[in-house]
Amino acid sequence: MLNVIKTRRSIRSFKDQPISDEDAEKILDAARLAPSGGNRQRWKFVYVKDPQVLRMIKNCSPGFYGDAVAAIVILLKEEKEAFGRTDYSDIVGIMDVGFAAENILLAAYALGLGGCAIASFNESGIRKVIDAPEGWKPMLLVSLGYPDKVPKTPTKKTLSELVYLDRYGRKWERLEGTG
Amino acid sequence: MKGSLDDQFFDLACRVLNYAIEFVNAPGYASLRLVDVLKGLLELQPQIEGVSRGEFYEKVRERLESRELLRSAEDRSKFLDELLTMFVDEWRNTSLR
Repeated sequence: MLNVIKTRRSIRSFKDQPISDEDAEKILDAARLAPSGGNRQRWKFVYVKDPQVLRMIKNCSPGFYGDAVAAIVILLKEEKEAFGRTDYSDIVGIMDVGFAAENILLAAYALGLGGCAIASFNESGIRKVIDAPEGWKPMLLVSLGYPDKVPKTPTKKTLSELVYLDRYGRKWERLEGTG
Repeated sequence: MKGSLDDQFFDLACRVLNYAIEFVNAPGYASLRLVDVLKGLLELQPQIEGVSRGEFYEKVRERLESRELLRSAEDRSKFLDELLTMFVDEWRNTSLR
């Protein structure tokens, strides 16, 4: 699992090779099992594999790179309130979608596939293309397919740059010099 | 971009429209200029052999011609969304199994 996390890359170049429905189901099951605030699971997943629908999804998504053979549209149920707070609902929902997307990407990679989370899309267009009902907001797309080109690992900040111990700003000595 | 020339032209026009929508709330003229690109593209359509859907593109061209000066981003967004609906309806009627 840790190796999957360490070596996964965002894929934007795909082979023209279909994804089996069995693998798609495994990926979607990983999404289903992601954590969500209050376990409310206020999400739906539209798995797109019809080339014509995928084509139109791409047309409506400036951030969609590459000829992915499938995509998942993650929709969030719009709610005005969460945990008794009206300023909280969207934040929790956005995090939930992120959890699901990460599970999708890790599961895909574990199955030899790749993909990329896409936030740049025309919501109204996606809504029309997949017939999303009122109250369900397309939040994120994830492209999927077999990787053609795998990008190099980008430079990541070190743990010592990111982690403090017990309070903000206090360095943790054991992390000094770690990658 | 794959498929017939007809589909490629449709996809290109649809993408330009979506880019115009992407920039509709951004400062500057990107959205307006992309609508101009779309208009120019659609004006070329009758001259390109192998690109059909003439009736559809004619309707879009007419709608673009008839647009009034849209001062607010909200009005521009509404107008562009209307054009997008035309594209999605055309795609639904001709491309879906």
